[in-house]
Amino acid sequence: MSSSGPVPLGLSTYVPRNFEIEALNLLRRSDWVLLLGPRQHGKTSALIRINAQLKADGFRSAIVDLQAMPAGLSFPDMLGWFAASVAKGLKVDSASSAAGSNSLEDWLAPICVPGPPIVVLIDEAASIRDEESRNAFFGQIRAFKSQAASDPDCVAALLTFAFAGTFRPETLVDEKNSPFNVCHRLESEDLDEVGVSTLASAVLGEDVPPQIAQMIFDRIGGQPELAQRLLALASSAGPENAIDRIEGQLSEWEIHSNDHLDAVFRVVLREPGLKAIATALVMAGDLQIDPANSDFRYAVVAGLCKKSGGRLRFRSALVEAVARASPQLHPEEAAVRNAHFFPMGPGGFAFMRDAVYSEIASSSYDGAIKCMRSGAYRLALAGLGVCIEAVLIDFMLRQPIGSVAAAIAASPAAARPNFDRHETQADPESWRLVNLLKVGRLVRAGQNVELPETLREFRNLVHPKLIKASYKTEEQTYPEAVTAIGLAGIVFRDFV
Amino acid sequence: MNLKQRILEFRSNISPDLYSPEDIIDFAAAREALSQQVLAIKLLQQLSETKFERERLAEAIVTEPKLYSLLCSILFLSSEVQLEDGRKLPAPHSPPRSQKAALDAADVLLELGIASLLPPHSDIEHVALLLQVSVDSARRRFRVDSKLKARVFRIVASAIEEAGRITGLPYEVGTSSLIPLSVRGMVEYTVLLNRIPCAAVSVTFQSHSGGRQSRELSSSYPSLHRALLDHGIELFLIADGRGIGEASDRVLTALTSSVPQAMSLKEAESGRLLKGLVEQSRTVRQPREEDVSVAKLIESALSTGQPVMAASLPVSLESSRLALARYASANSELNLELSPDGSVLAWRSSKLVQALFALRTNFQAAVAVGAAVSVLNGTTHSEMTSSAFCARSVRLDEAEDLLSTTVVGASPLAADPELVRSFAKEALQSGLHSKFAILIAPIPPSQEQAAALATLQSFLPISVVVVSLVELDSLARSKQNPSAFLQATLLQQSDLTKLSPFVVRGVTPSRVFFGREEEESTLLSTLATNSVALLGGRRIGKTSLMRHCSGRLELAGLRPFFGDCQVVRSWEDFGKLAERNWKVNLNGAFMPSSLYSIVEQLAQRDPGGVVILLDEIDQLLDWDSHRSEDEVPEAFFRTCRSISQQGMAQFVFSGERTIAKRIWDASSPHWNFCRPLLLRQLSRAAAESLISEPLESMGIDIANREELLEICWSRTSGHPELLQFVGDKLVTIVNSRSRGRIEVDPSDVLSATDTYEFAEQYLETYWGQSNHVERIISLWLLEGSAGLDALQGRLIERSVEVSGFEVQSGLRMLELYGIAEQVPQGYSLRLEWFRSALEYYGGASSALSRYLGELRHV
Repeated sequence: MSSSGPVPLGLSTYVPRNFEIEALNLLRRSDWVLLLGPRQHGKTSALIRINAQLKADGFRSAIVDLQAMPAGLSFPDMLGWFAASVAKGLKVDSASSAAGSNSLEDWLAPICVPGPPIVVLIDEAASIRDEESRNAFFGQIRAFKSQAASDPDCVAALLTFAFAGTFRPETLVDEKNSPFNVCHRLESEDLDEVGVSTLASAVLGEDVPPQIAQMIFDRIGGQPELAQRLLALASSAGPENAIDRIEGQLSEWEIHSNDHLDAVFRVVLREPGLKAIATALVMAGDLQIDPANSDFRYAVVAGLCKKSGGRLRFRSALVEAVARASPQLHPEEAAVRNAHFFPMGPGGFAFMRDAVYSEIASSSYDGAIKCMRSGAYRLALAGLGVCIEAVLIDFMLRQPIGSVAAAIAASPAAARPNFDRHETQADPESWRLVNLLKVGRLVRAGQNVELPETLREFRNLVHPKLIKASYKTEEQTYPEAVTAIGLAGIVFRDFV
Repeated sequence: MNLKQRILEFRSNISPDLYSPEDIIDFAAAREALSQQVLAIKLLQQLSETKFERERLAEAIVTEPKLYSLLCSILFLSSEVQLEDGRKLPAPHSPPRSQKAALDAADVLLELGIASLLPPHSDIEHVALLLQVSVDSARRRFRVDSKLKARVFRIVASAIEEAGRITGLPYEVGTSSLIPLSVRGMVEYTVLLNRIPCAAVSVTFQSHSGGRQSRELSSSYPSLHRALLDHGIELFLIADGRGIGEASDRVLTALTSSVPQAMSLKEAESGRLLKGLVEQSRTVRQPREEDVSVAKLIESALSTGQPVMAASLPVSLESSRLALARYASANSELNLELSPDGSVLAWRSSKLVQALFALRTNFQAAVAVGAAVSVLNGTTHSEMTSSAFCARSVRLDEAEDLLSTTVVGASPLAADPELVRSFAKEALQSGLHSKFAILIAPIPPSQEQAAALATLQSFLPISVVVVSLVELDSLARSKQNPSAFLQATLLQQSDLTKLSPFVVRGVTPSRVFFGREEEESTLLSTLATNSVALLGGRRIGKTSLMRHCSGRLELAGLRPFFGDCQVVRSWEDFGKLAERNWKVNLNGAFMPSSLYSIVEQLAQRDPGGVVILLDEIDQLLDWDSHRSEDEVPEAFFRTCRSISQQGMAQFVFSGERTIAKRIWDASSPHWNFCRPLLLRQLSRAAAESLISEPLESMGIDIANREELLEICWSRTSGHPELLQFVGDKLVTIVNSRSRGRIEVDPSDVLSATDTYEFAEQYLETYWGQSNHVERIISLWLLEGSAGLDALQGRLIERSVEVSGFEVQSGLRMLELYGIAEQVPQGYSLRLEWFRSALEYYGGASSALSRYLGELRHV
């Protein structure tokens, strides 16, 4: 069986879910579909099956994975790549005379010859990084829908689109020209209890003990990818050891997380709205859903939560356990043992203007998280210091010319930075962390920003002499490292 | 009652005549006629006072031609008069036109003594009235005749209806062709019972007695009775008038003894006709063996599709014709045609029926498809080539828009799920975007197959309905409308969700565009002098209205140019749109000043004012507000304003918050530029149409209609998108049911809307764009209407610092989204179901605390 990536066609362990059937039926009636759901949740597997079924029905259908688009393409080349991918999926000639055109219609026109309806399934729809290109691309797709309504015989009327991914449709594309507004929104659902049981039977055989499916469902709530992984483990462990192996793996995930949970929490940490929801859930257990609030919807799409009537809860016991153990979600909490730390991943520092400082911050932060996970707390402190310093320098460089100097000049003498001979006031890149923190506080004056001085002190713990002066073992440095991660969270929050 | 008593009774009920005073003199008609002669009467009055001077008379005749005809009528001249000396007086309807001719006519009129007939002080109007009464007298008989006809019609109609009610049998008035030709002229009405002629009603009204009248009564009507009786038809004779009353006892004895159902008008009216008709139902007439045999022969001949000739039947020609007519009448639902002389009975689609008959024994797919296309009144769009099927893509001109294209195919194999699945796939290749396809099968699917096909429908790419040869043959032979047949078949067999006319997302096509008449007329009238900003919340129907308006603008002589600005994010994008959509030349990069050139180019094409409709303008305005041309800020919008004010063209913008703020902000240079036209929810009537018409066009019945529409209204407050959502859900509900019940009732609307999903949709639709202040205000409006100051005060009381401008802006936005409306006390909530929707999210007070808390933290 496959426990990673999309489930190939024909595999008996695939359990279809309602969203797949619903999406297929909508596409058959030419309704556009927006399929949202957490990563590793079976969206791509579903698209593969929808594509195959549509072809079997007589539709012309193609999947285009925008993640596969080469980086750095110009807009016309991007359209060309997209059109070629559609043509490849439809198995038609992709030769086009639209070279250089900024119009998607020009690129698709040679492909859209009269015949059966064409369904284009766009996977990983959030993968176009450049905002302008993304808006232009999706805006043009949106225009197809309007054209088709007013002229049922136009080329656009042949096309039906489905978009899949893990993103906020409200913000991914400028809302006024978003194709997502004219889609039926579907959310991929977890396997239900019967689905987990069916999957267990498919993997382990019909005589699988019922408590296996029950245990999996109780702990991971029907997350298909994790369910498959657990069942694969059980399969390799043999009947007598299956339950122990599953229990062991679940405990391991609760302590050390896994790539799926990392992906979920990476998104949560990047989104202040989601982070606030996660923090509130840790404290309250559940939350009243705020109607027409995109944060609440996205919390479900991202895989953090599930809806239960009008209330929001953690997606599963596993997600809840991991969230509760994460100081990143509630930095004000004292450090706890076995806490979970999640990397921000590429793009986690996209709010920074300087691409190099952004990369430095990102790799330092994620490096620090790796150190935390492997018990190298002093190195984690070093990485966090680099990250925070990079964020603050970038922040200073983003300020309007003269505003930093004005903020310093307007502050009381005691609050002013004390620049040494290596530092130049006009050049924040030459400043020490202590001065970056001080000036940051001054620039944000009036906004109740309180930067912790302790951060600077923790950073000194990377100097051997200072470590020796108040020696603590690596293990004993854990609380400082945890607190530093929390403090970094405050910096990210206040200096975005 | 013996014959003598019957005659006495009959005589006592005779009406001597039917005149009423209004029938003798119709003063209303006479005065109406005088009103057409007012000028002529006035002139004639003046002439009589001046003793008819020759020249003045001639001049008046030329001035008012009706004067001449009035003069002629006073002299009782009805046509041209030629005197022996050669002088002529033209006919009353050809008055003299020239002065000379008028002078000649005046001479003759004076010579005839018109002046002495009308001495000074004559009351000309009175004279004219007398003349009208005289002219009208000729119409008295007609008035009475038509009164008689109307009275007889009422008597017969009422008796038929009542007889049907009493007996429970179908009585109706039939065609006269069912009466033997020789006596047809004497019969006024033919009454059918169970579609077979059972009675004939004749009427005679005799105002005088004499030899001819006596012969009619004693001989003609008894003969008529016998002739009709030969064909099983009873004669009901309504005989009345002084002539009848004065007829001798001998004559009346002959009549009443031969025609038992002779009666006066009064008797017919008092129930005698009814009683006689009811008796007809109790008279069991066994069809004559000969008639049954002949009917069998006719049926047999028709079954093959062949016409039936009266001459070919083994009875007399007269009887054959009647048999054909009787057959046609008894089978009036069949698409048969009787020749005018009654000698041939044939199928209207004779060749088609013959072809279908032949297919029963030798099924040929190509022929079956051709026949089906003809039966369905379709036109072939293209032939489709396939190894498995013979199929054609077809246009059905009489069908609803959504069902106007289909694919018709046939296969000699039994219509099992596998065949239907592959036919659906085949049909999809037509490229016609059909919503359904028709598969002609040689034999109807078995019950099991039909059940399997019903389950299969939702898994097919398009709905496939299976029509058996027998059904097709029946349709070809019947008068049933093919569209109605198709609709009924689709309702029974198809996946209705695929045929749903409701559009839950996207632009509304014209088939589900309802209401907005008021907005359209405001828009049209405003565009004569000003531009219009169409403001409304998301999915309220701005784009649909704009597209719909384009046609109306053309009819009003204007030239609309539509631009979808959804993908227009800069001036450059707008320039490309103009080049692409309107085919204008820009000669370089587009700058706002290029708009002048664009408008000039558009104006040069055809006569009529240019109207530029720009949909979803908010993005472009955002861009415009941050750019300038030659240091002129917001150059695009400013140029539009200038063009509008110069009358070079008018604009219709549609948008949401950005344009609304621009137009409403009194400090903005664009305040008052265009007339804001708020597009809010649909009117109650339009909302009801939006739900009911698409459902009914699908053939879905609406039970407890008023209640159902009331619930739809209260659950949506007329928001078109919510209505479409509800409509689509109703179709889904019907689709999920057994097809024995193809209707929706109020409980279906409740089950579609009493859901978390609908509450989510509802609040997303109404509240999706609202900020916290707007949400708090709308929650307070749940408690009752409130004014700006009170709302601001409440916010400040709860530590939310907002300015009056912010509250006012919030209220306007709530108005824009159709959530609130202005009332004398300030603003009130428009949404009936708002509180219920909030209950799904913990209720209004919980939401209020949440938003107030969050605002305090900001």
